[in-house]
Amino acid sequence: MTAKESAGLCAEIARANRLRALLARGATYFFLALGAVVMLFPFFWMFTSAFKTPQEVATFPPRWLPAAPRFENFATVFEKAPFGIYFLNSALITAASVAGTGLVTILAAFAFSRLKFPGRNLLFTLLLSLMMIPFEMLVITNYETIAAWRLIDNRLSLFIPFLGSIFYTYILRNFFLSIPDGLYWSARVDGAGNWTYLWKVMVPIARPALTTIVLLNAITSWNSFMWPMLVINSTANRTLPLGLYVFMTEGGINFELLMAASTVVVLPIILLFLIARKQIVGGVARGGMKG
Amino acid sequence: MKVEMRGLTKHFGSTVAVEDFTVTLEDGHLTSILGPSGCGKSTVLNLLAGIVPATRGEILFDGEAVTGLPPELRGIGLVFQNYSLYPHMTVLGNISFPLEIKKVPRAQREESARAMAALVHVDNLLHRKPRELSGGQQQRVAIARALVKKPNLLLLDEPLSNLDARLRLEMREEIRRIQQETRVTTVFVTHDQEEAMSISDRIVLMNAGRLQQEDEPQRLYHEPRNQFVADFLGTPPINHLPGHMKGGAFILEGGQARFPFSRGAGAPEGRPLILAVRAESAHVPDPDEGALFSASVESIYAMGKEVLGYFDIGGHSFRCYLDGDMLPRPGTEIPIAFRERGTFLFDGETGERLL
Ligand SMILES: Nc1ncnc2c1ncn2[C@@H]1O[C@H](COP(=O)(O)OP(=O)(O)OP(=O)(O)O)[C@@H](O)[C@H]1O
Ligand SMILES: [Mg+2]
Repeated sequence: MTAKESAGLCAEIARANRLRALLARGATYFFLALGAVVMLFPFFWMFTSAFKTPQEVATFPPRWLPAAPRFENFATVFEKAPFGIYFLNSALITAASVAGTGLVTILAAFAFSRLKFPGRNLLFTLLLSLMMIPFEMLVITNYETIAAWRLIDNRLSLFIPFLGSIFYTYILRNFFLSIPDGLYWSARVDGAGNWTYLWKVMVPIARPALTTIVLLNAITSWNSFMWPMLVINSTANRTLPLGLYVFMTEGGINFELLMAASTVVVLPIILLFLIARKQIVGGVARGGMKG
Repeated sequence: MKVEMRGLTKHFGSTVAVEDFTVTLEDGHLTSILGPSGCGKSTVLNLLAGIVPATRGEILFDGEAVTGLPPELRGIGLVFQNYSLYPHMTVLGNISFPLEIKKVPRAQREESARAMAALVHVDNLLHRKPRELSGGQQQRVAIARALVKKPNLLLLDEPLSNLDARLRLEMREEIRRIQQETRVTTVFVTHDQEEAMSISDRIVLMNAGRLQQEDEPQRLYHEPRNQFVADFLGTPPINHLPGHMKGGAFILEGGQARFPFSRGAGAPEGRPLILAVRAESAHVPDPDEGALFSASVESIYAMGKEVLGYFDIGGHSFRCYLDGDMLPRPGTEIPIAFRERGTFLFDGETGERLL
């Protein structure tokens, strides 16, 4: 083979390789795009339907986009049911839950990772084993407790039972354990007690883990439906998911209004995700820390 | 601040880290704790800092017992072997952290922190995070952080171990200068004898958790209390000639070589002994001098004004410096005598110094 021929062959192989890479990339993007469409379609449908007229919602074949966006749908929703109150309740309870559960989680994780007391590991193992109990079973005992405390139909009952989360404590404790001992003793020698160390060193370092916990908790709390359904009766105490459900059962099936209401429920979570996307991904990707 | 340790003992389970350690550190002194790896140097420091609780014994600061006091109440500065900087804070944040805890106003604590940073030459790095620093820079930040609150006692755990040779010398002098300016009582842990010799007022030499000797650097070198101390200090290491005394002469082990050694007459006859001789304490004697061995020359290294010779004395290797103007040929035999200074006699079993 002459040098020229071999050069030609090389070029050909390179071209073939490039083609193959291109095809592979194309296929990857195709399937990813397909997945995205499947995932996003319901949201698209909800969002566009929220701006349609009743006729547009009902026509067949379906119309993708409303002829003219009807913002009145949202006004109507807020007229027909007190979604403003629902929204406020949801926001308050989510905020209270994030703050309360966050605090309890931080303190518990600190105790289980840093403080030394007899039976610590046994106690933690016991707590972990409680995670095996399904939520539906806890509902009964939680309900009884809340009833005994006379908190039925009180918004406090929507976050108090969930202040102590074993799962979040577990995540944070593991993160705390990955923080080197030397840092703790450094801080102690620098004059910090346990409390100062926790808030000035541990918590800032654990920010990725804490962000993940806050977001998970916020989403869970915002979307929670079954428990509020059990303990809340009056309109004034309803959260958004509950209000949406009542709206659907009482107001008949007005799809465009229902979709407008759903948009109101879902939008804050989507916004939260868009704002905190970096933090969420960072929290999951980083996990531990370097000494 | 005067620091006293009395019978200080620390066991980790069955591991004896420090055993019956009694030492007093005078106010304003820089004391080095010297010893091989794993001998308990860091543990002594951690006991002083209150990081590990003592198994037994007492620690007194200016006569007051602090044995049970938590670290944050001891008013000390500490530089860890691995720096332990706060990863989420900048250099400035790290250095001013001890003052932040003391609730010093921001402007004031940043000023002190900047001054400290300048002292250790990291003032151009104030806004970096620790992970953006080299090991040496991290170490200097750690020193600044330990000093910024003007501690009564400064503890340094091998603070120079990650620096290159030049910076190491520079920082060593810097530490000495800072220490002499501030007069802060300082404990400096190192396993480098030269570092300890050059920087310290006093040296505490440890082995296997026990105090071997506490003294001024020069006395430690010239008056070792036992064989370990003599062995640990000095380059090249001190020479060993095992043997025993008989009829006023030292009989070298495994050979016929003997030499009259009236000074060793006090040692019990027949007991195994070690005659230890520093490399600079042997010389080629004048013909009329007594007390000498015959050494066969193995090799000679001339290094400028110093000539280091490797010899064989009755089957035992021996290294010593020779006068610059004599270069014996390998394979020849020369007489060797020992000066009184730098020649010690140790008990072969206990290592105790007899002479
Ligand atoms: N937390 C601990 N648990 C168990 N054993 C320990 C602990 N800390 C130290 N030790 C043991 O105690 C002994 C002394 O350790 P120490 O760290 O004080 O040595 P060191 O002189 O500082 O050594 P180096 O020069 O290598 O730093 C060692 O045998 C070590 O294994
Ligand atoms: Mg050490």
